[in-house]
Amino acid sequence: MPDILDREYDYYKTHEEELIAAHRGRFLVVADDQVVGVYDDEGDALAETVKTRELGTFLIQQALPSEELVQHFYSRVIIHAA
Amino acid sequence: MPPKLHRHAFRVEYPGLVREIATEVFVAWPCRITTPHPEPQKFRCVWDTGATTSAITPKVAESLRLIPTGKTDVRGAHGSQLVRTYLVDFIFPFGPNYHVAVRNVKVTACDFSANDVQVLIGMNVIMLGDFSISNPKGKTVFSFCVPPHDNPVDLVEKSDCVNRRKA
Repeated sequence: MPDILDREYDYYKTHEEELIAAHRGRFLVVADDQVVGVYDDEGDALAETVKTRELGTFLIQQALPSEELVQHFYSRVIIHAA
Repeated sequence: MPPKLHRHAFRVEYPGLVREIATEVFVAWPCRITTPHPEPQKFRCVWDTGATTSAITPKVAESLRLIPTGKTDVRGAHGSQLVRTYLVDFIFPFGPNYHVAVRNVKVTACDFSANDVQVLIGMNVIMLGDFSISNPKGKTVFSFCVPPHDNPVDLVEKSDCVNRRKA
């Protein structure tokens, strides 16, 4: 069963290279199969986008290569499926 | 001259030596979200320098009715997985009228191996300030300050100074 934001995440992954080239390090807002906003701060991306879109209908994604975004837990975390 | 930054700091003194730095934290929706949402809720957290990012259990996300804003790859001892991420505010309560808030923190939803811990405070929060653990006279003292001071805690300098005084 598809999870919330799967479609938006898939869009980002499909266009990852070109989006990183254009907006490296910035926070992209993805909705409706397009980038609808680009921000320097993740909090700003959220606060501005909720003025026009409902939470849960858009993805905020930093434009960086996957390896730079992977999160590591060296101790106690048990990975939980999305 | 740049404006002088006001530092927000707290200190926790434990009754003995502790093996983990545990405190309480209120988890809240980001304060800039004005749509109706649940009130902040208090959980037990552990400060974890081995976590690149802060994390909450799915139970916390459910309890606060958080809505994900992203997804990310997480790697740990048990493998890797694509998980939901949320933006939250952390509010650390110390005393009836004092708290330290850290806004817009990205957290991942993960299960932890300790049942009584619901929140991990990871390096994405710790790196925003100065973080200190000391163990004087058999008691652990933990302190945190945001934003960080310009002059870092320097235990080498302190030790040299004390050693010179004793010589």
